[in-house]
Amino acid sequence: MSISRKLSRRDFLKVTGAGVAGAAIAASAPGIAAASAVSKPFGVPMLLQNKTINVGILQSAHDQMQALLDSTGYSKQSGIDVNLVIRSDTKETEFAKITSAVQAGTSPYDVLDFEDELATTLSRAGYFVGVDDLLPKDIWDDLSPAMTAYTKVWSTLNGETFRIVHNWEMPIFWYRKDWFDAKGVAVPKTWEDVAGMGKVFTDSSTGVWATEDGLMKGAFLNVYLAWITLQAGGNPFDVGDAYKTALQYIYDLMHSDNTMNPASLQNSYDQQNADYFADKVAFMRQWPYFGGLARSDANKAWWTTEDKAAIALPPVGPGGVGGSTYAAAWGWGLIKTAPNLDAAKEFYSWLVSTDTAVAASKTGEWFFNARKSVLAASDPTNWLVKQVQMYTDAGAIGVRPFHPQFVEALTILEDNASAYFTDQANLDDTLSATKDQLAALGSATPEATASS
Amino acid sequence: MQNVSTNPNIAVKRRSFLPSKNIQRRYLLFVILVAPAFLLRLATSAYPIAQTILLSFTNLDLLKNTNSYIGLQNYANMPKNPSVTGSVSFTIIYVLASTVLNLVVGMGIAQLLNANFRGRWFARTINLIPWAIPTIVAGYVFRWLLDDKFGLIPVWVQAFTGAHWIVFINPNASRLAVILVQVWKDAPFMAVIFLAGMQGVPLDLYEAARVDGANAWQRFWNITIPMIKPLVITMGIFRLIWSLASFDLVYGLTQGAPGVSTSVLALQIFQQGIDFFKFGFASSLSVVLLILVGIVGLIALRLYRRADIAY
Repeated sequence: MSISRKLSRRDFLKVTGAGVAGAAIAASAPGIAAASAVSKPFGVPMLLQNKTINVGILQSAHDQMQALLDSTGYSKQSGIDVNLVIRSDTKETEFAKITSAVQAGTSPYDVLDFEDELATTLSRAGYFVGVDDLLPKDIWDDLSPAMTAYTKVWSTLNGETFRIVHNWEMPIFWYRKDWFDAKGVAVPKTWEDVAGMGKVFTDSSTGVWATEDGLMKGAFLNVYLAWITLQAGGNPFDVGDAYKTALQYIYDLMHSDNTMNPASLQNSYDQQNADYFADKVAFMRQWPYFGGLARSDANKAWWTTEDKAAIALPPVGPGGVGGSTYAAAWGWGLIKTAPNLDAAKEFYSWLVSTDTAVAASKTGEWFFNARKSVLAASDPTNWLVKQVQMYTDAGAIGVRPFHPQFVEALTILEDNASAYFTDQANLDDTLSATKDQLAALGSATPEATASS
Repeated sequence: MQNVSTNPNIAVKRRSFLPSKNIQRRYLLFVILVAPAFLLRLATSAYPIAQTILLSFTNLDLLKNTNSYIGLQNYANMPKNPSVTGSVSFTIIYVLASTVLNLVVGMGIAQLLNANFRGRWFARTINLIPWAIPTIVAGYVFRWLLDDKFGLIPVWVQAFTGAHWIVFINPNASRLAVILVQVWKDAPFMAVIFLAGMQGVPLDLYEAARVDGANAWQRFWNITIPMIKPLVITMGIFRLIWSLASFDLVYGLTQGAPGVSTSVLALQIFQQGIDFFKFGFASSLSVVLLILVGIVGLIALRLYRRADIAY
């Protein structure tokens, strides 16, 4: 037979068919290997098994988390390597990423740092592991009463805890003390005082407004609605008298009192902060991160005195001082399809312990909270510590208004409130539409909507 | 007479219903070579579409842990949902307005770029910059460009006219902003396509028209437009379909606000599925979008056949 015989069509088909079959078998091999890896192979020492866990955190928290791991030497002591994976700061991205992974039986994270929106949605989808048996015995004594109440509402499902929070943030009342002192005006303490600030500070010729907010749709407007409704003495998801009072109050601030800039409805938090740093706002509601931002290198030239961003108690509304503001938080959870769940559980127990909470709080504001151990170990002259102490001592912190289908419910609130504030609907139609749409979601459990 | 079929000396050509072995081999080769692409298409298009249609008849909700057959209930619920009805109405406005404007503006830019002038190559190059920018980035950038305090556009308007624009608190202004930003982004691409078509028009047609006394507008309307009509219809079809499925610009620019005045169907699908985990309802909205796209495609095909020009 000649060595240089041409390849016949039949031989070509045989070779091609064999190649395709071989490729198909090779492609399915990892599945076979993975399936056998699920069960612990006989005779393989524990030391050789995978002990690297993925912890999903925000980019802004990365350095603090790394500092915590370095300062405590956790990996050396435990033998568990911790890989910090940056997660996005938008809930939609995380929903898409986590849902598709969990449906496929895996997870991009073993331990996740997540916010309230993810907490309600993903917990009710059954994605989290209960952590009660991983918690230290003293944790419930260590959490402040407000933190405990918050955890029972936002981080518990069917009596089982799925998240322990590591920060404790609340909308803070920031104000330009230098401007107030220059005009000889007292800080507003009531809703009526706030409404009157338009006459004092708003000046169309300079573009200065008494107050602004970041009321863009998409998780910002609902924050303000919840804040004001809490001050009115109710829960926005009940769509009761308190919510009606809140909507009317906000509308009047924008359109009658000339106190709040209507452009707030198109502002993101970045735009809101930019206006404050541009000396266009006399006071505003904003999260604690604003304090860090004001003191950062990026605003070094602007930050000439603490009076530019002083902190006061929020104004008191018809609901009284007890619900002047609410706290929200980020916390740690375990995803049920985590690739390294055993190691992740071990890490979790360490992470939420009292000693670690104290060590974490020393790395930066992201891990500062109102746990008794943390407060006791904190510098009392630190601005954030003083703020939390001030608000806690005044009893101003209520529980964040809750709805079991929080993301959809807040979207309904925002859609309708945004239409009302831009004169696309009147107040009665807005309330009616909101009520009908929330009712279509199904009822919230009574304890879930109560705010203490 | 001998039976022809039993006489071994007579070769009988039997008529077979099967093709010859040569043709069978060629057919098999065709199947094997096309199979990978076909299977890929099946897995990435046909299966998801079929699955989406099936899911649209269920109440699949990951939060409520429901997954039962409910027939046409999802479709019946659509008119009762104000977010959906608002989205459908703006989607129609947005699709029609942006398509027409894209065609008109694209044609205008192409006409300008078709002229002979110094630096024409540079103009043609920078023309594509808006199209090259990712749409979501354009959305975020224009949110700042239209900011009432820091935005370039409102600041210029105020400087020249004294008017203080706050674009995104007015529903009509917001809708206009979404449409115009979309035209800014995609008209350059349309212009490039039309330019290619215009350059294929024989110059002697224009010469003859000029000799007959036709002015510039008459030459454009009676020669250029008819000659590139199939191209215009094709790009119009594409633009309609792309606009129907458009999501990222609205997501970056307005999030559907104020209220739901700038919400589009694709944004609703995203919200219902990804934000609310209501995959059954989101699937039904997807099927509606699929039907709309299918109708547009069929109408466009008929128009395209009619517009075929013999030259």
